[in-house]
Amino acid sequence: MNFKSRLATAGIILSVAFGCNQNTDKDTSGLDSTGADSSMTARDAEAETKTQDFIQSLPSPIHVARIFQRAGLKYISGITNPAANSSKYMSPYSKSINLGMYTTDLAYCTFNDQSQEAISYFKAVKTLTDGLNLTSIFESTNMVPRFEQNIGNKDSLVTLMATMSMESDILLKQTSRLDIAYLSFAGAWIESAYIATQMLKNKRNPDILKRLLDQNNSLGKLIALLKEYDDKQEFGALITSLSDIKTSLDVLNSENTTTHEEEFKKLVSKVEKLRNDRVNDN
Amino acid sequence: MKKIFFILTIAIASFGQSVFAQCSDKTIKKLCKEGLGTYIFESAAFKPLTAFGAKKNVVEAAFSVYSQESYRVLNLCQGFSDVVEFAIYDTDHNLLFSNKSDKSVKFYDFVAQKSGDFTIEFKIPSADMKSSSCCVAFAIGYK
Repeated sequence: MNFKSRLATAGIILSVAFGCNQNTDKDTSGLDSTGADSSMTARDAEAETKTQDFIQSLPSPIHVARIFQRAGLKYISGITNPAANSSKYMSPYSKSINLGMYTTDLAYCTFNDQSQEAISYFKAVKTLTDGLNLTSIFESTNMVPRFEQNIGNKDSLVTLMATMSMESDILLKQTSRLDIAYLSFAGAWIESAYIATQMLKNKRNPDILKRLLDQNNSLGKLIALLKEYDDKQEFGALITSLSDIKTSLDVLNSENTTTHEEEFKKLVSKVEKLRNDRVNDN
Repeated sequence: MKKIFFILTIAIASFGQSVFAQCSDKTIKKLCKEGLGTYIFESAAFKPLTAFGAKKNVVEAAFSVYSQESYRVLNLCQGFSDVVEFAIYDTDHNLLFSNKSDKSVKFYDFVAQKSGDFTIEFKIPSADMKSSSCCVAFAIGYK
């Protein structure tokens, strides 16, 4: 082999090496199928600058569901957003919010041993991720059949939910689709607050109430992140509603307990309205 | 000569792979799975060092914790000339942990005493300040 041939061989090896790597990233992020722009937008960059060096880390909705369950939140039949609704959400906005709601419902059912319902919610989550061109979250790990095969084994289902959560978290950050991430977290936050307030409305459990009040911190972060998109009408309305809920949580977190009962009723009503509006929004 | 040429080519190709793979989703996922152990994935944050600007020698981020919950914070920084020093501060910004005395330690496990925001801080080695192959990254796991 002469020098030119060797150079050509080296060139092929190098281009395969570098080329494969770039394609790998594209494949796993699902960009090939979506055509989404992977470059960070000016808006995302601005959001990061305003909030520390990284995108703010929000808690996992699955972990929040687990925390509520440990505090004593029991399963209430019919309280969750019916999985059958998943096909009626048409706009990226309603898909993103209800994706978060279904993630909470999935975790809520799994932690409370409602396996059949959990499967329905797992499929509802898949329907919405597909609708948002996030297909690779489920495809890369063949998750739906694995979920069905592990029904009855809570530990395995929790592991699969965590894998789904990791795939989703990393994909949305890698592709800078932060609006979906924030809306989805908003949906999860609203649904967990809805389930908790519905239970507290009938029976005051101090541990659940404490965990509900703990959610004020992540709500504050969420509102700040959503404000980067407040030029969009639907984001503006959501921020207003969430800020109103935060006002109630601030009062309930304050040491002045004289107004707590009245404020709790306001909180239940505000969460109920926002949640039902989002569930019924197409 | 043939062998040397081949080895050199492969070495350069491998170097290219590692440079581009530093902040890739595949690498982050792999490191999370390996490093979180029995902890369940909560969230990850990752960004190339170059995205912080050339003069940024301390990088920090906040993450939410809930009281009485068990967490693992995992340092996933990649591509640096030395292990990156990191520190964890609690909700009142008291220093809880630093790997300064033993940089080989890449994670910190704790039970949060209060709900709120913890902070993770990375000290970027000065030798790497302008490196384009470094990725600053961390992940949080819970039990």
